[in-house]
Amino acid sequence: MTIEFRNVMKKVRLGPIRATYEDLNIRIEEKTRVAFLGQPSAGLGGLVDLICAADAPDSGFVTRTHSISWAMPGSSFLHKHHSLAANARFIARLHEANEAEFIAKVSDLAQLGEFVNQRADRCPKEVLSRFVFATGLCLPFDHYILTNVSAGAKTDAPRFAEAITEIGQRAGILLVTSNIKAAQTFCDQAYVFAEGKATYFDNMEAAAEFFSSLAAESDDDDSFFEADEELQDLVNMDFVP
Amino acid sequence: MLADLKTQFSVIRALTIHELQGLMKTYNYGFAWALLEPMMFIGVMRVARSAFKSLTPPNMPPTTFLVVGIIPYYMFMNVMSSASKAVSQSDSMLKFPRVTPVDLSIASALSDFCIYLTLFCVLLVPFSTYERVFPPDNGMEVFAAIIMLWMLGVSIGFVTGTAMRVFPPVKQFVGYSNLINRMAGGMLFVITMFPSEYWPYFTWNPVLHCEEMLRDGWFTTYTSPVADPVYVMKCILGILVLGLSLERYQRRMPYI
Repeated sequence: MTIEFRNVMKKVRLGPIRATYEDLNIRIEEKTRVAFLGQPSAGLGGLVDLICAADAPDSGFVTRTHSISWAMPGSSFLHKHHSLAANARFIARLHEANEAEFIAKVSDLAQLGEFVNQRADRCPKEVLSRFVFATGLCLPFDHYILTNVSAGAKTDAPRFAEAITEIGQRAGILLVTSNIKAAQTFCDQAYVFAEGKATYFDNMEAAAEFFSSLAAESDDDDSFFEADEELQDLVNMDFVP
Repeated sequence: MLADLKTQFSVIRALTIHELQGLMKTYNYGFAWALLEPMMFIGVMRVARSAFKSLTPPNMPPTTFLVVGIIPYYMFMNVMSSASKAVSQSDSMLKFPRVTPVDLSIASALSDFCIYLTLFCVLLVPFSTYERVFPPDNGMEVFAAIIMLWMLGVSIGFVTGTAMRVFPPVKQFVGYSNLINRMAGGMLFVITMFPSEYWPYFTWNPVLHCEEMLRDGWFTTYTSPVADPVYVMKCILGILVLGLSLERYQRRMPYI
């Protein structure tokens, strides 16, 4: 029961982000809590798409042998002209969950209150953010893919942290982030992505140290480019005709 | 195997409902256009028929004749287009690991089916009652023809969608072939309006067979000399196998 990348090559092109990963070999075992650490420019979104089968690698293989969530919190499924309950019903139908029970669970975790039957476009952003996060957390997966560990206001953070910790005890977590503190809190293994390579650490402290050193180097590079206007124009430029 | 099928059925059901609900979002434009476009075409053809009597056959009432031919044809075109779009382009729903491009294609094709079947009933019942050709002579034949047109649309959509994904200009060629099909697909005529020596130029087209079945099934005054459901099923099977195979192969390719 794993998620496995075998000799994967992927050119990530997400807007201004340009990154190329070559010969990626990653293995994520069942019930493990793994962090994918990378700067926003590392294009980890492209790798998440590979894991979720939303895209295919340029070469190599990605295999999944257990159930995984979508990258949470993702709100692409939301119909803004529908109530939160109707949107939750879609997720329940998609994952063959009992609709009434699912809505009750989501409403409870996201503390929707009277907003549960309110149109999504008339709900405050904090409520929406709690709702989209809770829809994923309330479903049973073997592995949860998270791109953020909190939702809503700052006061909601402990409740969601508790929910994620509880999930980490019964299932696996894959946290895709540049937030080293969150990774240290919820994960015990990490892959650090930089310069088209993934480096594995089974110790979060070593991963944090390595990642921080990369971040410092990246800051130096940025200041080098920022110092000259002409060089700044060359950042992210695609030289291939 | 059965569990997988059950899962896929649940996914398609959820996506179809989601798609239909999404239509209401742009109700003034999206859903209204689905109604307006064929209505306008029927209106224009009905006016043209008043001017040129030979545009529709004399043994079939003109408005019902046009509605029976045009609405299913529009369904076919839209099903083909949405199935093809779902296969050729990346979609935000693919972020859900359960959802595959095939599920998206079938779901959007099903939502088109629901819209056009409703439109078909809503327009046809009053018009055919007014023109005294209600109920249909053979309702099962009419329904079978609609289902076949839907399946044909999905199958061709898979093939054109996979072609568009690797070579986007294919879209232009699909547009031209649709134009030809619009003229030669039997939407506005029945085969008996042409001398029999010209029939072989039309009968290769499975859409024409479906249109013939529709007229044959609805009107007691018309018996199609060429409608062949077995031929249509053979075409569907061949194109569907080709389309699904191409889609399966292409799933290993990244989106451009």
